[in-house]
Amino acid sequence: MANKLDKLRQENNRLDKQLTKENHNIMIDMVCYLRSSDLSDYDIENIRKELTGMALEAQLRNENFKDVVGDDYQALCDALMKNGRQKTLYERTLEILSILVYGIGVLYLIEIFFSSTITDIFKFGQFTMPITSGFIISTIMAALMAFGTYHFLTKYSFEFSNHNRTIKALFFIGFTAAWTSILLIKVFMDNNVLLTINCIYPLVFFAGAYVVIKYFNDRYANSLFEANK
Amino acid sequence: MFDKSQLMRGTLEGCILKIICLEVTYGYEIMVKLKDYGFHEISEGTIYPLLVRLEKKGFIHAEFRPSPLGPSRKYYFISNEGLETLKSFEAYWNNISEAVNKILSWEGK
Repeated sequence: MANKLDKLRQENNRLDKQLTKENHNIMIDMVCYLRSSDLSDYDIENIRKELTGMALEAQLRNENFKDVVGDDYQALCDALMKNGRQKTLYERTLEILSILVYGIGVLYLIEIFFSSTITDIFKFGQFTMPITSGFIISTIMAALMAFGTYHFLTKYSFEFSNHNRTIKALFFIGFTAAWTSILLIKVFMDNNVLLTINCIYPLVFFAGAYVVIKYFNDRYANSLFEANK
Repeated sequence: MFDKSQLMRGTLEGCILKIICLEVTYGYEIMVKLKDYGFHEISEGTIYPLLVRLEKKGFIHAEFRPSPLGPSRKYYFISNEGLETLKSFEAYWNNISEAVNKILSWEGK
């Protein structure tokens, strides 16, 4: 099923390329900041299309984007977040499920490729894989860390662009500390085997869950386009 | 100093509804009309969140149409609910502006 939201995203990316460097950077900050909000992807892409359109028309009229929308871009985004449609429970659930399935699936693949499992498969034809407490705890922490990083980067997108040193330092220290602890947990708790599984079953589960969630995501995105035709 | 933003938001929503009621139009044109009628400090960034809000409330509908100048533009139409809201805004505005003008022109005893 073709997802109309992906098509809109591609169209926006194409329009983005026509922006001047300055306007392109402003758009990146604004869209990043909007992603920290409770607006759905559908609404964010529509807002992006309209803002890009305004910027392109301003360029053609030889006007500054700043003069068209005002120089407080964050305030404009805040007003849009306040006045736009909030995500429904269904949208929120689909989003969390797809991030979890995709994120944990990728971490699981990394675990297979960077442990003895991959050599066991190719050398001995064995698909057994030990599940350690280190793997479980570090995977949960990595998933939480990914959520945290995403929200920090989107929420402070304007501060990052304005080279706010405090925010950059906070991010660097927090990011380094969190990933160091995740790696240490992985290394020091990797001998504590909780159970042994056939590594194919989780792969089949993650692949199946990904297909099902993608189907529901595509169907829902297309229904939004139909409803707003 | 008087905080203009509260008064502006409600007033602008009514004015935007009136402009869209008279003709199907788009953001930049609405801004130009508002400026022509005396809202000199208005920018597209001021009215865009209001258009999003009016659309969310179902007072206006929108569709993208090709533009001679660059990418397609979002054109706005008023809905029946929007017309009702505009009527009540006009009635309320007439009452309140009369009352406010009376008070402001009052010089006391």
